[in-house]
Amino acid sequence: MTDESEVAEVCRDLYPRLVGALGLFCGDIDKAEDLAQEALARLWARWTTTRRPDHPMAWCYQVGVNLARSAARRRTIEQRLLRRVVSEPRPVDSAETTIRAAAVNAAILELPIRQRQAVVARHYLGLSVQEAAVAMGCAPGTVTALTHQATARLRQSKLLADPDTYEEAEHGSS
Amino acid sequence: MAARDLEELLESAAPIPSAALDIAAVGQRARSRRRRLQGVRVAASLVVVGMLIGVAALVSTSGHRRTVVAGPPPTSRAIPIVVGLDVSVPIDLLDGTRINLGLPDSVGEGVTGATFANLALHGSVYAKAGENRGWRIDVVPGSIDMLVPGGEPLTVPSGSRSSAAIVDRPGHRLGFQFGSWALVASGDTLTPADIDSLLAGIALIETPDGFVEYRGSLPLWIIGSPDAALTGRSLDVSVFLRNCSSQSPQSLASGLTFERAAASDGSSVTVLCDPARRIEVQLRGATPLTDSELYQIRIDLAFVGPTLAAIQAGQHP
Repeated sequence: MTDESEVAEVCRDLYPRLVGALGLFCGDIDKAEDLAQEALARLWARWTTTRRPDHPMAWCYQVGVNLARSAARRRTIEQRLLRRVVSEPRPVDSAETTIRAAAVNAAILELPIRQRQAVVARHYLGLSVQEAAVAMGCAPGTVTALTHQATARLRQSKLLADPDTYEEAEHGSS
Repeated sequence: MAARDLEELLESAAPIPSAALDIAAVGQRARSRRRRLQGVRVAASLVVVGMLIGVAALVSTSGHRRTVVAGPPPTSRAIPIVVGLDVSVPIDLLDGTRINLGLPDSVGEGVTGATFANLALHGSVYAKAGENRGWRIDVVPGSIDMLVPGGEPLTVPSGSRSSAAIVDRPGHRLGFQFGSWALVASGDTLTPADIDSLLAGIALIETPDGFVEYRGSLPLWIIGSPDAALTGRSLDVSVFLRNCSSQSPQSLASGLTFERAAASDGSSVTVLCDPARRIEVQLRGATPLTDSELYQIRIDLAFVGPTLAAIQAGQHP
């Protein structure tokens, strides 16, 4: 298998999960898709020229997070997003799914950036504490603490503590 | 909330891509990114070659030739970078501060083989202590004939370490030749009195390692650009003496902090800081440094020069 076909296969495997993780991180599916594609393009360039990252998913997630945090990058993405919104209307999910996902997303977006990064890495991407620590450039203990803090904050949220109650309330009021 | 619940919650909220990945587009994006970076390197090489050709043409057509460059051609001398367990890059700043930057092989290979022609030093000199007026100084290997073309030659005062001086009065620029290094002082004003003051007050010496050190009487200070900038094959290194500029740095076990950013030209910049010693190092390359690479980077301070000592003490000229 050539380098290019190998990395193409890796990119295909990583893409859905990477979009999910970056979508949870930045709260915007279009932005997440663009960030994921840019991260994969960088992985591709790296794969065929220098060294391959030990953990491609962790590497791409970190690149995507860094890009999301870059103001210059954000402006470019927003311009692309604007063009896409005009040209490609997105299919609409059912109201129930949309409301639930939006509520969860809002709660996640209220977390501080590092807590959000840690909880998505650990509980959505399934990275080990060690892998998440390498990806985030911090000590494993820091990852554990950030994840714990994020979980505690989500637990405090009534919305997330009892999703069934929330759904019933929403259905009742509609 | 149990971990399983949390995982299910995140799964339920995570977006799904609207379409399958267009792998051809990603490949195309990667290739154009690579081409763009190669293009930047080629363009930079062409600029250097063009400048060398321009200098050669200037020298060959000059009616009154003056030899101002002493010692071996500066472009031929390599910076004493040591390649061992890691790549140790020594960088001497104008005030004599010596920093040894330890880089993992994978990163350091981007600067190995760099010569002094790849190095530029910057700073400023004040008219006098306590007076908020001064000039920017830029120091690079080469000839002032190249840096201040068409300038008016000046008589260098006896006792000066400089072998030649040229002034560009309309441009407020004054060039000095110190061995194989050229220094250009520039500012908003350059009166005859300023020129006399600078001629008498600016001095450089070349160190045995090939670097250059400021030994003038006018107070030396920093300026809003790197105090040293080294341009390697695939890595650029900038050194600043200042409080760290990072907005939200993360900490490394070594005590350094770091922050990654994407530059507008598509390159990746990693800002490393030693907050206790007021040193900031920026590494710019085609791709972001990995975390394992970051953990291996060290910034050793072999010598603290007077400017850095003053910054660390919170003083100002």
